[in-house]
Amino acid sequence: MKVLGLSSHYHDASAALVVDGVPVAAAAEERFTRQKHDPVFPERSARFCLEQAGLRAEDLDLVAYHEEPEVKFARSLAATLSRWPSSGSTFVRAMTEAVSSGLWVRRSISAALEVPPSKIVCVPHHLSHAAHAFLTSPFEDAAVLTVDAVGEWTSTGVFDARRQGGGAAIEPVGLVAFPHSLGLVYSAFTAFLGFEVNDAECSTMALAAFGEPRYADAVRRVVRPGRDGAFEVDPSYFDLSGRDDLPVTGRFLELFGAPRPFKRPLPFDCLADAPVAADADDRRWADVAASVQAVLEERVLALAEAARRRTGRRRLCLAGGVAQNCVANGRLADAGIFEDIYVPPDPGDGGGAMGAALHAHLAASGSCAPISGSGPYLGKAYDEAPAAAMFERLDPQAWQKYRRAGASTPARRVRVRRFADDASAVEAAADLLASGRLIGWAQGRFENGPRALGNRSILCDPGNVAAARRLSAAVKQRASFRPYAFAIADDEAGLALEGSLPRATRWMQISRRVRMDMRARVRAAVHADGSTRPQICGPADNPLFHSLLKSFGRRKGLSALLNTSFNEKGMPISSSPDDALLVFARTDLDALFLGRTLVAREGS
Amino acid sequence: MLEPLAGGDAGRLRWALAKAGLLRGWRSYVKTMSRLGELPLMLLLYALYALAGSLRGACRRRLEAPPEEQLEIFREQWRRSLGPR
Repeated sequence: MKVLGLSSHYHDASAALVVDGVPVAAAAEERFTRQKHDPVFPERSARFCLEQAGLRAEDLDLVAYHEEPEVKFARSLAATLSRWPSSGSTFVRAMTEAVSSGLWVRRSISAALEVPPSKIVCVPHHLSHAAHAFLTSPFEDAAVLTVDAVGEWTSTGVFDARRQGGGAAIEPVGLVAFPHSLGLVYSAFTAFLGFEVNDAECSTMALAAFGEPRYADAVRRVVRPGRDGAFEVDPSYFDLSGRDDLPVTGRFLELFGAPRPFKRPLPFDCLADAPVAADADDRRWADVAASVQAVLEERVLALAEAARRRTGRRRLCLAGGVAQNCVANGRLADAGIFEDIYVPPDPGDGGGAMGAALHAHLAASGSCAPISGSGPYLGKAYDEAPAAAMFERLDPQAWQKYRRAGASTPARRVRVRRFADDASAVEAAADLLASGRLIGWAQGRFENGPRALGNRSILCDPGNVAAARRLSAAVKQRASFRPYAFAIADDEAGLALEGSLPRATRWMQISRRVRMDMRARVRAAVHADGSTRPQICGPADNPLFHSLLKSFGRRKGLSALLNTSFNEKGMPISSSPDDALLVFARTDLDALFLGRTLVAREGS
Repeated sequence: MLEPLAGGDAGRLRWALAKAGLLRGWRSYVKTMSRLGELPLMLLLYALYALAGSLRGACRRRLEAPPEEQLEIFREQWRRSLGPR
């Protein structure tokens, strides 16, 4: 049975193809349109999924959408009418979006893919998340916790999931309903802290490491504990009228003070050896971030304890946007409520496409695939040769005009070299990395989800702080308070990291503390609180990337590399060789590996 | 596009609105609404908003429904998602 899953109309539109219960292709639309978090109908990613499997749309048995548009519409209508008459602008925005496109998703799918409406099914949003988390996990049974902003009427779901007789059952056992939402509260604080909502929640999480949770009691007035792990959000602190970009009321500002102006620089530096001077406002914003992070962790722990009690399961699967909070996931692992934790590579709304397809397959066939661990490498692979050949012929002056505004180093001539085999390319890359170079590494199929996991990565020596600073300034334009993370070979992870290493560490979904005696070795990828968000990579996960880690380890003594996503600020991660070459041309990357082809600036 | 809603869409919309507590006393209006195209529907929604003072209570009751009721509604969604296609 062939099922195409789709998600769209909020953020991170995506498509995923599941054949006989096995994910075979998945990609976010942004990877093709080059618009970050693109919410449009995912036509290009759907086409890619079909091409990848050699299918046509008429070959599909079902097309599954990640939410029920009519239910979402009803919730949106009820939510705006309940706030009448202050919700006028929200009403206009919500109804215009719904009536112009969101409500007619079935029709859009039918027209775009030329499939009959009878093949189109809509799966409840949190059920999509739950199916995604459980059916891609390595567990026979598990509690599933889905936590996000809102899907139809639900913000949080607890499910009891088990495989049985070739199929699976995923049953809802508890929920928290809109408007009580941890995701919406965290996003409101993200806006208060001057970061972009639905994009920079990770900045709130990063800033938290520099603060003290002095405002935790105040946040607990905003988000009150409820019965049996649930919670209630006090609506008097939020202004959802849409009249202002900042969705909070005067009552909120009385508790937490003035908001941080958008884009005002923050002085905190996770690579500094000593605390940097910060004024009272900067410290207050860091303390507010630490406070909302602390309360989020409390609430996630309470939900997890309730999930354990209600299901009796010993393992946990997590999904939803809040499952991307790796610090909360780390706290959950340390609490020992569950023996193991799994977070899929794309736990947010993008992953809902795969979840909808997996659930639709399960519901229609009564079966699911055996545990396989499909992994994140489900995107498109490209032939790099034409792009590399084109670049070789270009004069530096011809691509000078593509340089990022303000880039300091003048473009230099490049040399292109093609290696005969993977092993030679790996050795050359390890040499460059060991000598302090910044390299782009684009290999095979790109990763599904927001993390670069060794197929579309920018890499450098994690012990080289100067290289990391150059990376932040001349390539990523990254704020100094935001940390990098490292990838490490699985057989050496225990040398560098403290505590348990649950499954979620495979895809950079969980924060771990770095051993004190190893911090200097990976200093450039350790946060101010001594933590990192590791990718523990085994040879079965990504053989080529694992061999690069080991090759670097033979030179430097630890098989670990600073690993960050292959993109510039504000852009989606590179997909094609052209995307990668553009980043190389615009920034001060020293070298770029496109498959076995090395493109390097002269002198590198 | 000013096409009328498909029969399936109209049924699902009615179900969703009923679950939102918005159908009490004006079911026939929604039936009419679901037969309309997008522009008339938009105009009707604006008119609905203008009259929303009287609907506010019903909407609030749905938003503030007890957790057990919310879970039962979600279970109904879940059962439908497992049902025949």
